[in-house]
Amino acid sequence: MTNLLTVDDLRITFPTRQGPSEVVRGVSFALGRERLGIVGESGSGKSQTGRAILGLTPPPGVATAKTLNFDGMDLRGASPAKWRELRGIRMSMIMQDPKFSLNPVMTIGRQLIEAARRTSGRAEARDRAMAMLEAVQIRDPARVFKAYPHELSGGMGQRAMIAMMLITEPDLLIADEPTSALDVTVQIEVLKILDRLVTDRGMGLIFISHDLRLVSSFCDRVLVMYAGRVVEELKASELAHAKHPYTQGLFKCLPKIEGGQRPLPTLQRDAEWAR
Amino acid sequence: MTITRPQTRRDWLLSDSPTSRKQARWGQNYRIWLALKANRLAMVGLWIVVILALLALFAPLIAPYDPLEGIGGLRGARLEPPSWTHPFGTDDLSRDILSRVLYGSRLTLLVVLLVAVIATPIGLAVGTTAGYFGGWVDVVLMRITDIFMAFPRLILALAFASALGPGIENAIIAIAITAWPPYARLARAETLTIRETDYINAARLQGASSLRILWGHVTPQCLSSAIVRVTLDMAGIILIAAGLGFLGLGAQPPQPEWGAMIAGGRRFIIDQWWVATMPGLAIFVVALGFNLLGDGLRDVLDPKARK
Amino acid sequence: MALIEIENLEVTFGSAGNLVRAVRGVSLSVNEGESYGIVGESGSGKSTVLRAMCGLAPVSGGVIRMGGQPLASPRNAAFYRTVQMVFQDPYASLHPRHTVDRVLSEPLAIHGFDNTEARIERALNEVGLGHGFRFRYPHQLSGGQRQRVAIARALILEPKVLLLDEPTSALDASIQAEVLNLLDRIRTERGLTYILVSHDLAVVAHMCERLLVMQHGLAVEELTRAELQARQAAQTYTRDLLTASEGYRR
Repeated sequence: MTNLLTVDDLRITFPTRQGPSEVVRGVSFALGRERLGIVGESGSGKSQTGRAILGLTPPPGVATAKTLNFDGMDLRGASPAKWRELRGIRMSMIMQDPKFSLNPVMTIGRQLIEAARRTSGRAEARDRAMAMLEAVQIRDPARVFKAYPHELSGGMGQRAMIAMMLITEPDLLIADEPTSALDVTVQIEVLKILDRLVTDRGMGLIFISHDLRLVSSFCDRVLVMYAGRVVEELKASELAHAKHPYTQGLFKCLPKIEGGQRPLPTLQRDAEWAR
Repeated sequence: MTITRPQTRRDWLLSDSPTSRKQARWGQNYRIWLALKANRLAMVGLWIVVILALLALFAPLIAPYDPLEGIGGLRGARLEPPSWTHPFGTDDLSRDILSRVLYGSRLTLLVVLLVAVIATPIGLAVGTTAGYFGGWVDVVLMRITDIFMAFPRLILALAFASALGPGIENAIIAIAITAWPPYARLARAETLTIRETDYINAARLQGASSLRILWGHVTPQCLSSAIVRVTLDMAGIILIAAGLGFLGLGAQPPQPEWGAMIAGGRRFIIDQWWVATMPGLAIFVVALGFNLLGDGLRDVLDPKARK
Repeated sequence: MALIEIENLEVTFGSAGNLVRAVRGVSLSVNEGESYGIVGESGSGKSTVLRAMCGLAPVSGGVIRMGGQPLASPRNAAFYRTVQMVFQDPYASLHPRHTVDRVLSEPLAIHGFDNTEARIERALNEVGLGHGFRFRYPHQLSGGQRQRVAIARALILEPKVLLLDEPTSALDASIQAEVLNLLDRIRTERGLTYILVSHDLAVVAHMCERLLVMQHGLAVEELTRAELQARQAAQTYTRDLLTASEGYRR
């Protein structure tokens, strides 16, 4: 299997008053046409990793890597024109909150058509926009097509955004907590859509989340990040048998419906992990 | 670890775990100061304001001549252009303009300070009360505010000043009366968001009275934007005071008020340009200083503008 | 005997023509020393029930009784000494310009408690924050530490009932475990009564003996912890929630 994306020694540095601070410290991984989960707590650098792949490290942050290779292209130092060509067409990103990613004064339909026209003609774009809305399981696509973002519920808005990100049929999708703002029952629906895209279209998916249980049930492989490093990489199905004490602790400290230890085992952080 | 390092005052201020209320408060103020210090333009503004304050304070020591008495009578040094003896020149009554500008800074500072001290609390009290209680309290207070805002400020100040009679004290009162409505609007808008927050709900659940919530919880949150607004308004206040002085309703002759001095120099503006220009330059520099300082303060104090 | 009884509670927001019925005829009763959970998705009205109890949401129908007596409206000082609340977002529930010291001393001053110094120190120790945290501002605290301060604030008036509105949903999993353990320990030590609102079935199953499932402002069903663990839900919606909480199934 050829790798869709190869990342080697990714480092992201932000300048602070106390000197430069490295929030991602040498992350390496390869992604095929699969579901890769990145799990970690707040401040672990998981979101910054996702952004850096799309060249979206917010200034004054600086991202460097030994290799950052997408489908045979070196993304390091890619020109703005090159990024425009890739972003939203061959690689897309879904953010946590659809409110910040949809244009509030444009109807969903127009935004979709605008995105679709980057890869196809005017007449075709409209049909594809409608088809895409259906594909993301929106029950009344005609209504949503004419609606403004504020007229949609959270779940609908998130689906509309997923439709927008996927209309160009990207090869790589980075989803940063795509379902955290959604109710659990809606969450599963959205995951089904993503799942089908990976299985049917052979898209590569990086699923960034703090929710260990969700990631382990959804992804094929999981990277566990702690303090800017990948502390463990393992098959999702084997998460319960993780070797690193951080992963183990993270898994054990979750309360369970079936009941379990009381008090809950807490995570004893070891300074060694952050080395 | 037993490595004891002599604790500097800076460490004490920036400590992450202060040991007393005093240390916590000073630490907080020191952080604001550090942030302000990093803004070069704001520091220029601060220096202008500090120098203005020092000049006003030491005007009798610095000013080379008496601001009210002409030099050598009317036939003396009348309308002399700027020179080494009179750097800003002299006016039609043979008075040294530099000395008058220096003494004038006292009046300017007095006006600015008193207006800020009178108008800001009124505006904050009206705005937070209206915003917090809502309902008819809000309607009544905000309609009164609207009435004041329906007139151009200078016109309203003019009306009050002429009703109260000319003089610097009345000018101050007139300006203060016209200056508070924007603060009330600002404070009300902020209070509307603050009153819905969970920290206000938490205070309510502790049984805190409305007065306690308004004074201890809402007002401190509105204060920083009010301070920023006042600093930015200072320039406007100076200009209105100068405008009133120019129209003869502010400080009365022979008081060296900058606006009145420009008015006096109007007659000679073509041939003896310095008479009106020097106080005009003073107004310009001081107004600019307050504006720069206000901009800097906004960056530091107002979290909304920072994002 | 039931300490808290809610009968046919109705909460309506908005004005005529644009009414939102957030809570529609919900009844529940909580015994003294019990931990009771309310579970639901966003818009189910679960938090509104708590807010209505505290007088933070308008009650348009029904009765809330405490110890058999209907609650006074507006709530009085005695109520606030008995019932306290911990809010969801620890970043929004602490005043950004008040130190921890001020946050804790203010309720004591309002209710005229003596021995302020000792009480503040004890409250900080109880929630696992030492003296070193007393004079910090919220921005000098992490999310978990803020939530501990919020819990200390709720406890300092020595209430009998603690209302917990998603107390850990804004926290990382490892911090959530610590805060849940803390809440659990305090309840045993002080014999408190909890009403805990959460969207997370696992959290409620861990913390509560009984729970109410809510949807669209209506009570769906009441379950005991044992019934929940055995997945004996009568209603489809509850079963959907149970399935969804297990994660993704291919």
